[in-house]
Amino acid sequence: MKKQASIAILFFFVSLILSGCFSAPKQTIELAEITDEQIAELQKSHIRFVQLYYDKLREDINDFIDNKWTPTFLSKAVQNEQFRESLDDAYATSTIDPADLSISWKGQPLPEPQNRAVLSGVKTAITDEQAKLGAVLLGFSKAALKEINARRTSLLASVDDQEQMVIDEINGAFADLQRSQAAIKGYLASAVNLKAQQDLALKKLGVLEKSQNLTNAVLEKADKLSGLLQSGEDANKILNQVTEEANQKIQNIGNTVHEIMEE
Amino acid sequence: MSNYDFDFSDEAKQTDDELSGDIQKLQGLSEEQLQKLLPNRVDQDKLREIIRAVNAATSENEKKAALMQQLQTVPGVVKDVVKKVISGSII
Repeated sequence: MKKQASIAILFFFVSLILSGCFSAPKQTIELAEITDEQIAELQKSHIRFVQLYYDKLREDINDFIDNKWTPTFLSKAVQNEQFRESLDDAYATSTIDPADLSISWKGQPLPEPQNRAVLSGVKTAITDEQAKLGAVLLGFSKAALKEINARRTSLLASVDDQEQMVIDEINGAFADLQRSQAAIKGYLASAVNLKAQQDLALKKLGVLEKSQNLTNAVLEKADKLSGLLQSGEDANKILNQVTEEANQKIQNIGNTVHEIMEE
Repeated sequence: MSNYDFDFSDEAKQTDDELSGDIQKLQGLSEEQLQKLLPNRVDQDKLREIIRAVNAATSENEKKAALMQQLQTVPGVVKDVVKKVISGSII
């Protein structure tokens, strides 16, 4: 049982040293945070551009309805048969000026008070027709506005829907990016923390320096090997030399583990 | 309903037909333009799977770091064993 525990500790620390070779500076977290901010800024910028495009489109629609569609439509609406009939009747009577009337009866001007009574009746009729003309024009305005507003609303709704769809798509893509970035940032933070804890543990054990020496030695060997290969020396000879050194290291590790197990 | 409730829907329709070219230009982006301009979304299942894998690695690192922190407080006897393990013979 004790042996098993020792083996577990042994392998844990060997793997610790090996995994300690990676480098994860704190600046990676800073960089991830800068990237986060940039993503948020880019998203705001994209959305603002989209909104500006659709704001301009809405402006164009309102201009079109006010300056092109409405005049064209009204020119057709005033020709509407039902409206025309109502308007002409009311207009014909309501434009009569009572002052222009002279009433005669059997070829002679109508005497008072009959003249006054007839004129009063005509004025009442004209007033009625003027009221009727007002109602006709009011009816025209209501019906025309209904169509104008319906066209404006329909065109604007279509653009509003498309704008919302585009914004949703952009936000969705940025959400994917932010989720991915959060996972990467979380991983980097954990790696930086792990590295810090490893360094602290190794420092307390007094082996950090040795671990760094090992890393440097490996790098040195790698450089040397690379130099030898580039110099054109016999590849088999170099390989044999490297293999021999590796075997020696493995033998040393085996001996150390054996010693610990025996204690 | 008064006698003057006019119906101008035919006139509106005629106006739409006459100005259809202008109306078309005010419809925003076409389907084809949208396809070209909108970002291509990643496969959501694949993305979830990858993020899950990265989060698992993060969790593993956090556990290791916590363990490492605890090991810094273990008694000297363990340290001695470890020191032997990672003594000069390995290096």
